[in-house]
This record gives sequence, structure tokens and C-alpha cells, in this order.
Amino acid sequence: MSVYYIGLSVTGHDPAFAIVDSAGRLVFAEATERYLQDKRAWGAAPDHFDHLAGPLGRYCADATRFVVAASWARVKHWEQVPGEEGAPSADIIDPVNAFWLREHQRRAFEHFGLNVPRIAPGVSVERRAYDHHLCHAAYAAASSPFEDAHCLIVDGEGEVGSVSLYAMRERRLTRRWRSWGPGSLGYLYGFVTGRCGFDWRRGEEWKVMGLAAFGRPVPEAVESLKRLVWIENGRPRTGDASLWNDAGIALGRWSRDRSEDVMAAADLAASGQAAYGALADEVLAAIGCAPGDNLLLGGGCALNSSYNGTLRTRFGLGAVHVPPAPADDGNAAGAALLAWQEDNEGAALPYCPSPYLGSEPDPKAVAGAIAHGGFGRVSERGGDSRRVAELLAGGAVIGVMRGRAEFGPRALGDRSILADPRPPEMKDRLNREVKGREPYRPFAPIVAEEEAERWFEDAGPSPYMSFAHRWRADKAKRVPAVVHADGTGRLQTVSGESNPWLCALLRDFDEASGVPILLNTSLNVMGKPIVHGVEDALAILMTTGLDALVVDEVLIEKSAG
Amino acid sequence: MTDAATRDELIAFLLDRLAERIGCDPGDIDRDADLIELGIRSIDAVLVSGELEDRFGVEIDPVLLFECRTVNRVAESVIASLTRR
Repeated sequence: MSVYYIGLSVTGHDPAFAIVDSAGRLVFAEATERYLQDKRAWGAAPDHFDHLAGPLGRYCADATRFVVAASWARVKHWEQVPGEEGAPSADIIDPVNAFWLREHQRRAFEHFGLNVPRIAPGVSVERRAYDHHLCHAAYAAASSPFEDAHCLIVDGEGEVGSVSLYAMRERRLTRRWRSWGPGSLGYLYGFVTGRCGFDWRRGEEWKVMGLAAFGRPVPEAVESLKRLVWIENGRPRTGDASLWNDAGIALGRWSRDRSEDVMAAADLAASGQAAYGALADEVLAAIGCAPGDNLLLGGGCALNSSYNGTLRTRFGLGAVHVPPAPADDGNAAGAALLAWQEDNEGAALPYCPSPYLGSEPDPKAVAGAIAHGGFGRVSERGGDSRRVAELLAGGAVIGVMRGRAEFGPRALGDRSILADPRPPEMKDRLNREVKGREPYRPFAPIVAEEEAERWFEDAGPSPYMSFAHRWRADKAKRVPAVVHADGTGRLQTVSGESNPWLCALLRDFDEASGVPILLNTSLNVMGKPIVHGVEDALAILMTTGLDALVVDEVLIEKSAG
Repeated sequence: MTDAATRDELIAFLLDRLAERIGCDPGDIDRDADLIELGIRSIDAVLVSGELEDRFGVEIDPVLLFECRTVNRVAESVIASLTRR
């Protein structure tokens, strides 16, 4: 008899599923947005029939029992005094969107696991539900190498509030406290995102973080934002709707309408980032880290790599770890791990460091492209890191789709666009001709783990691009395409264990160019998720300035070179 | 701590927190009065629930104050949770 644990992210946005086997191995995890090619897949079922059916057949062929685990304990709901307007939640900031978010969560929760018995008739199915922040914590813990750590979860909102603190001892989690009520750093950042003329529904908090480097925090704006959320003993608090309305008015002179130039919001973005950092510091200060302690960070706010990068040295921590999918997609893995742990009483959380947990390119689609694509140059040299490195050093921009897709929002070399970081014009070329996005948006570097210290100040391991660090001054000028306006880079460190091909490619690129660094951006175009099918990758090759595409062992080049 | 002592401490804590949120004197709160009739709002219920959880180290169900409705019944329910722990 084999039991498998299917974790489902049931927030209503960023649905995903994950599979943990009876030995506690995380064998598969992927966001629904990839399969549907619909960014954040609002309203889609995490157990989407066709998406789930393939991996269930492949990884759970001997299943006799499924435990389906949801990433929320219950439907989001706040009891209310009759006659009162608005729930004590995000309704305070924006009742229309709060209702919309709640209804998405309700639909996703009520139907979770509906498709599983239909996909696997004859297999018994049990449904369970786990606390939202505990799911975040479980994946943060399982993806980390630590035995003991503080585990801080900060997001928009869980069942009762936006912050939970756990203690991890010997890879077992215990909650120390959680915040209650509507105070939320996640919602504060969402509010700033809106005022900057971006849309949190599309996940454009990224754009605020990137834009912040071009502006300066305005003390008056920072103070306005800090009046919206304050921290009491680590717990975020907020006031009533009028406070948010007043702040909206007070911030008007720094705000931006969507139609205006992006740079009009740079100072507000910098102010928002500064306010977030100051408040997050107060949360951290309240958790009682001793020097040398390890910290796990999870929840959507753990995607703030600019802030994360400063933590270890400023707080004197031993190490800081952020999972590859700290936001709600990652909760699918957390829920599956918690279900496994519940059935293996007393068991420590297993160690699941690899982010390469998703689908592989379909060989039939690759064969079809070779046979019918009409490409001038197709070779079996996709795996030949030396050849790929030579092309990159010669200025080619190359899409890479090799092996299993990354779980989480970052492309980590398996679904990436790679390029030479040396030419100063590379950033503009990529933004304009390949990604189709705003010219200010930065690109990130990949560097071998053992090289990171030579190139960055205070760099530790950053296997999932969770930390931005300052480039060493003498090094930055050698790789201008991956240096952000504030002199930082959101690096990915790789080791031979985590991604051998990428390591070899970095070595070969170093030989060809004298620089052991590659520019890495996700294999997608603006507004679309990272590619899923070979067809998606080919569409990008054919419709953008991409010069070549690697699909597993196949190298497709556009022109002679 | 005996149940009676815990009950006294719980009730004193609840009266203190509720009085601060309602804006009255703890002595003015009838322990068998309906909390909503006393004037608590849902935001008050949420924040007092969080304070209870922090102070007594027991997981509080978000609907607790709305289901129990009076200081005495809330205290009884929390004591029951503490005993089960």
C-alpha cells in the first residue's frame, strides 16, 4: 500500500500542487499558472484536471491512498457585529478587493481536491486542511539545511493576521505567536504598489522594488506610510478606513497614474521600500534573535530580496534562508509536508533543497520542432556547455529549457534566458527586444557559490535569488548589465550539486570571456508566466530577439554563427 | 495554578481588555452581559482574541467571542482549552 500526499495551494491566486511520497520526499511541485500560461492563474483549480493527471500517473503509479492537503485551515471569514460595515480585515483598505480576494479563497477552499478521485478512480482520498502560515513555515523549514532556527512568516493575511513566528528545533516547528487583526506589511506594500501606478493583482510589487533604486525616500512620504501600520511587540497594527483614505491624499503628490512615465513613481517606490524595511526591522527586533541564530523567512513578503539581503549582517544572524517559493504557490509543498508529518508522528521535516521539481520538456514536441520547424541550424549540442558559452560570449541571447522546471517565481537556470553581462547595452537590448518590459527593470547574475564572495560584499549562499547584495566596486564595472541602479545584484549562487550543467556553463563562459558570471532572466515575456511547454519556448524564440534556444540536448540557432 | 485562580485571572484580564476597547471601567462590565450589547465591535473581538492567545498561551478560535458572547462563558471556554492542553 502506497500513500501519497498531494498539497494544494487554495488561496484563489497562485494555485499550485505538490506531491510528497510516503518516505517524505517532495517529488513534484508546480504552479498552475505554468500549465495554463495564465499569470497567477486567479480562480483556477490547483488540482486542475489535466495538469494534475500527468504527474499523478508518473509519480504515484502505485498509489492506494491519497491525502489531499489544503493550504488554509478554513474558509476566510470574520465574524461581524450586525450592522457593521466591512470585516476587520483588508476591507479597511479596500472593501471591493477584499471581497474579491475572500470569494476566490472560498471557492478554492470549498472545492479543493474535487478532481483527485476522478483522476484516480479506486484510490481512497482523504481531505485535510492546514493553517496557512504553518504551510509557509513548513516549506521554509524543509527547504533549509538548518536543524534549529527562528521561522518568521510575513504576508498579506492568514486565518487571523499577517505575521506568525515559529521556533524550529531539530526540524520540528512550534508556533510561538501570531498577530491578529488587519495590520499587514503585505497590504501596506500592495497599497504602495497601487499608488505607484502598478497592480498587485498582477504581482507588480516586483516593479516597486526594482524602481525604488531610482528614487530617494522622501521623509514625509515614509512617515505617512508608517502611520498606516505600526508594530506592537512584533505584531502589525493599523487604524480605520479614514487613515488609509487620508494617506492616499497625503501621498498624492508622489503617486503615479498608470499613464504617466514610470519614473514619476520612483521616490514613492523608494519611500515604500524604506517604510517596509523600517517596519519589518521592528518585527524582527521583537522576535529575540541571538547573535549567530538562523532565520527562516516565508510568506509573500519574503520575496523582498532588497530587504532580505541586508538582514544577516545587520542583525548578526548566522544564516538567513528563504525557500524557492515563499509565497502562496509554495504552500502546496508546505501542506503536503505537514500531512506527511502528521502521519509520521514525531518525524522531523525532511530536507528538500532542490527547486527543480516541475515538468520536463516533452520529447515529442522537441522532435516535432526539429522535423517541422524549418530551423536553419539545429544540433544536438544543447548539452554542450562549451558551445553554449561560446555563443553567449559572442553576444547571443539564449533561451534555456533543460530538465525540470523550477518551483517558485524565479528562473534558476532551467527555464532561463541567459546572456553576457559585460556589454552595457545588454540590459536595454533584453528589455526592449526580448522581454518587452520597462527599460529600468534590472537583470540578475548567476555566479558559482565559491566565487560569490569575490564579487559581492557580504554574500552568503543565495540558491533561489532571495537576496540582493552590493557588488564589490572594482567588479561591478566588469558586468554592467547585471548591476542595478543602487549598485546591487540579486544573485543566484549555484553549486555542482544543485545544477551541474549550469556550473559547467559558468566555467566555460569564464574561459571564453574572463568573467564567471552570467546574466539570467526568466524565460517568458512581460505579462506571461515562465514557459511550460516546448511550444511556449519556441513562440518566444520566434517572436522576440532571442538568438537561440536550448531544449534539453537540442540547440536551435536562428542564424549562422 | 488552580482552576479558580486561572478563572479569576482570565476574567480580570478579559474585563481589563474589553473595558479599554469599549472605553469604560472594568467594574462596569456585567460578566453575563452580551458583549455586542456592551458595544464591542468585531475589530475589538479580533484584537482581544489575539491578546488572550498571547497571554494564556492557548490557541483561540476566531469565533470564540461571538459564540460565547459573555465574559463568563468566554472564560469557561478558555479554561476548557487550557485543561485539554
